[in-house]
Amino acid sequence: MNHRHASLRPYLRQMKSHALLLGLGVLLNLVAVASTIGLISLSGWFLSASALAGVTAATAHSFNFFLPSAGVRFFAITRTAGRYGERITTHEGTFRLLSRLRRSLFNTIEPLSPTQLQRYGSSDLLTRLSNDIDALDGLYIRVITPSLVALLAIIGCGVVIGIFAPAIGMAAAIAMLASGLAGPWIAMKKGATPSREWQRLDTEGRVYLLERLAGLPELLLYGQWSRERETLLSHARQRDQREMTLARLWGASQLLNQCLLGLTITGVLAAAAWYARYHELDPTLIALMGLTILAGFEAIALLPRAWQELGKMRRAAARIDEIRHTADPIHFPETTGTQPVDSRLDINELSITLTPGIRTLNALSLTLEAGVHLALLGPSGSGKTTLVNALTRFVIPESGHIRLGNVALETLSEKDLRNSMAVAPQDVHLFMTSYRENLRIGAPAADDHTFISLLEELGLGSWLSEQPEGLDSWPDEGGSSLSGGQLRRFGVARALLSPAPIVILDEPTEGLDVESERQVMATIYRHTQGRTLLLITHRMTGLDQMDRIAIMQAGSLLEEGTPSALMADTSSRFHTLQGRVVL
Amino acid sequence: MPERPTARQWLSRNARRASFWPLISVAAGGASTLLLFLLAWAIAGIVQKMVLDDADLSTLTPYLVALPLAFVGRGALSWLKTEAGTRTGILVRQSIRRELLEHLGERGSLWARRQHSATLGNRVWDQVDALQGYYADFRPQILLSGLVPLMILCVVFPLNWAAGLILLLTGPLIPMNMAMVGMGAKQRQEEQFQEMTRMSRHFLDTLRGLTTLKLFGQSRQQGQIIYRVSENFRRKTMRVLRLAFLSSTVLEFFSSVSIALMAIYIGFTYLGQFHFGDWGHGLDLFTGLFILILAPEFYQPLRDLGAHYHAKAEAEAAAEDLIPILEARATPPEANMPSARWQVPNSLGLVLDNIHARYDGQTRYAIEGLTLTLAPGDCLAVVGPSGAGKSTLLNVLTGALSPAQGTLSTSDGEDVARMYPGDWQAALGWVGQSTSLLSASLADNLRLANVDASDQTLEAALNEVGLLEWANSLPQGLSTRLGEQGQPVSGGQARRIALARAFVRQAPLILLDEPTASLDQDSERHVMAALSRLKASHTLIILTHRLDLLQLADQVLVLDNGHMRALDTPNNLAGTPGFGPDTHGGTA
Repeated sequence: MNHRHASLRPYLRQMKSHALLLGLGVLLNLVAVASTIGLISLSGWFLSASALAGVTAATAHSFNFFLPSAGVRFFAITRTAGRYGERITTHEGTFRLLSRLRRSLFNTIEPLSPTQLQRYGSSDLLTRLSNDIDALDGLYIRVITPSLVALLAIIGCGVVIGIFAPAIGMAAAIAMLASGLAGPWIAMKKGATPSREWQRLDTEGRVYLLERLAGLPELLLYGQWSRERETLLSHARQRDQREMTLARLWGASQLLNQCLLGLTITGVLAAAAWYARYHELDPTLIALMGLTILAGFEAIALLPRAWQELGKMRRAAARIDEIRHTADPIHFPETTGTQPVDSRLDINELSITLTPGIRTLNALSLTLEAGVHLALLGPSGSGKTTLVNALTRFVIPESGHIRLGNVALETLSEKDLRNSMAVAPQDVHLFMTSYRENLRIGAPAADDHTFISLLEELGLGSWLSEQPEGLDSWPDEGGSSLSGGQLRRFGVARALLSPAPIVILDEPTEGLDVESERQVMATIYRHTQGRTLLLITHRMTGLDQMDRIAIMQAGSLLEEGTPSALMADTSSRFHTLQGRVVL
Repeated sequence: MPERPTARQWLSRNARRASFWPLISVAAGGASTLLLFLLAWAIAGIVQKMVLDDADLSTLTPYLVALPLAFVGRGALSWLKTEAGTRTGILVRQSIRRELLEHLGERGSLWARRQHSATLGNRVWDQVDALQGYYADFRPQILLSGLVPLMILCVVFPLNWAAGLILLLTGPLIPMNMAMVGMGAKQRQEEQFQEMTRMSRHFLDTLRGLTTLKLFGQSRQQGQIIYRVSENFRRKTMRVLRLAFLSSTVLEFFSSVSIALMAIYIGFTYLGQFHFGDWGHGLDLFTGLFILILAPEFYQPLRDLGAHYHAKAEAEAAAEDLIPILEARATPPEANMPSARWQVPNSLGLVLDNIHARYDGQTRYAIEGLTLTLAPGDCLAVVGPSGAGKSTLLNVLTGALSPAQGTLSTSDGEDVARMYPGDWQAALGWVGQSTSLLSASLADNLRLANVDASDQTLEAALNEVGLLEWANSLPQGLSTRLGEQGQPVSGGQARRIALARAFVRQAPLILLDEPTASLDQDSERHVMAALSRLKASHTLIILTHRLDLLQLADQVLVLDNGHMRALDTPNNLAGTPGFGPDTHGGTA
């Protein structure tokens, strides 16, 4: 393996632990291939020899038909058994390999912070990663095994022919080897560029499509949809052009393979005839030699296609490698140095830059005494969610620091940090498991009664009663089992169930009508008594019950104070924001 | 509406989209079998000449010339078959994708919004691609797996009926064998397909939920869980596979046994042990070898079919997803197409007469009995709590939702429902709550509203919303690329770009949905200023919660639960109880 295959090395290493099973797969594959060659070439010889023997009654009588006919039957059996055994072992091996690959990949990704992952393009990246693993699992079953078997089969064919005519055997083996190398090599070389371009055009096209679908209302209203549609279709056509190039390449390698096969078999038959005439080679072996070549070529026929895919596998491995190497994961100490004295949060001169040139947080300072309920307001993009990401250590501040109970946040172990905060993010993820398991993430020990009563308090009671198996039901895959507002509330339930002393809720009532909003806010207050609450919101409902209000703008604090004090100040932003219609 | 076709019917119906290309694949496969006869003839001929006839080497010439040619021909035909198959798949996919996208435009934004945009994208892109293997490989192979064995039988039977019988019996009649492969492969592929999907889904699910797991301190142990789930799936899948592989093994077995039987039968006939099957005219080495070479090829198409079976399972799964979108086509609106096109006037007023509107599948009206008149150049503000019908009104006005009852017409009496599609929309400008910026240049993003707008128009519009200075400061000015991998744009700037589109649009009626919600102060100031300038020359309809926006309005429409609760000037309304600054609800 040269340096260009270096990215595949971690995956080849994974194969070592299953070497025996994977080796057995190769061996059984070889048995099947060898039996196929043996069956057809022995049959060919048997026919020639018996036809020759059958010319006179005496030779016909003395001809030992027992051995060849037993051999033919033997190969028929080993071919069938070998094929079955090979299928079972290679699949078993692939699955085992897959399990290890997934685990090792997950362990690579796990230390990365979600914000780092999102910078790659979030869910698209995750789909890619999953596809990449699937692409890699073909390495053993489609590339390594057939290549090894082909090599051994070529040697075998050379030996079988060579026993009777060493020169022909040698020449045949060399010709087969050349065919076995040329096809895959050309396919890999020529296929690299179109295959890479296909991938690029495919990704670009998908992004383009998703963006246009998101902007569909505008595009339709402004009568631009048909123009965008044509651009998109022509983009897809360009991609398909590459697919056509790849198919043509595969077609050309089939032609090349057949040409080489034709030349080899013709050469071998002609040479065998020559040897039979002038060098006393038994003429009944001519059929054996020809049919050996014919069957042997089957072992190399599919190699070019597999090697054409090798580029794809390498790119998949390289992408996984890239993730491993680009970002330095955020480090947590194994154990906490000094335990925090309480749950007071001190944010001091915190600055964070996510996009070069734009400070998302700009020297922000804010103190939350233990047990205080604070609502954080501000226009979208003012840095509220980034502040949450800093508190959960998903982003590394450029300068400034955060202290929890008088202890620097960075000195807390991951376990201690997570135990001190319960967070409901804007994007609530429902796992493909029962609703009960989904809630248990927040409180592993809680019982059904706690779950049900909290869901009811949050106004999800009627939703729950519609679920066929209650808490045992699973969410729908497309994500249609809960509406946006219901999903947010489910996330709130998870956070409220956790016993953590600090509760952080990011826009928990977005997408709710006023009535449900009041109900949710009341539940939040009830369950955060005695706990610190950081509530990020765009809504004004029930904010007078908060201890403090803070308003952010462009990464820093615009104003902060008690609701009544801010309300009383007619020049405050809070006062302006309250100026809306009541109905 | 006609009944929806099954996935299978739909798949075979769509094969037509590739015109003659599928036939070429099949023809290439058939022609390749003819060349197979030629190469078998050549090999068998050489052996016959050398072993029995003791002929001169020069008599081999025709065989030695034909043999490589047969292989080259077969190679060329494989190429043709691959190319024709791929082209078939591509043509079908391109045509289906076009229809899907056209259909999206016809169903409208309301329908599209109800589909998750990622799901919709997945259907248009990936699910359509999943059809490739079915059209490129599987479908031609079905025909070939009937055609090729039949061709071989037709050649073998006249030569030797016993050999023909061996082929016929060991492949217990092709249709039966096909059904068997079908059933076995179907079960195998489907179960494996399902298990594999389930496993990768768990993996993907864990990756997507990584943030949640981290927040609750449960991400570290997931690696081991993934391994366990994966191993569990392996055990389950292998149990299925061990049985399912038997079906292809049976085919393998028949093919091996038939070659063995054939060899033994022919060999024993030569040795004088058997005396049947040759129609009485004997069996020479040439014929025996010729038949033997054909024997493995008799089964090959069936084995290939089994290998392509997953393509069929994939395509059927994709078809299930695509059929509901493609087959539920709305009745084409051409029925009562007006003859004359409507010209967009310079200023536009509206008359709503007893409008009732509801969404597909709902029984309740979202708007009920709305009647109002809006004079050209007037500004109407629409207020009301969530669910009062504000968005529905907007959908009716943009033409995304047709009123179930009542009429929407212009102040000079043109019924909007009777206009040529697109004519009405040409009179509208729209500023939504969330602005979709496209990954394109700033100019292209503005020209979305009017393709023909000059650079001067664009600059004037940017000036109206206070963005001209910003635009001039960009590295490439108007041609600067926005969005992903381009110039980052803040939420406030995005909203102002959307507002600038309304100026570029030069349409008489502008619809605005919460134009000042969640904006920073600077953007808010610019938006307010731009709105008062827009008001001078346009008819405006503004959905809002904000009192300061109401001051722009000539009339305020108060909606509640789909009904009109009040329609009056803001000053008159200010006196009514309950209408005033809110301390309980609303959006900042």
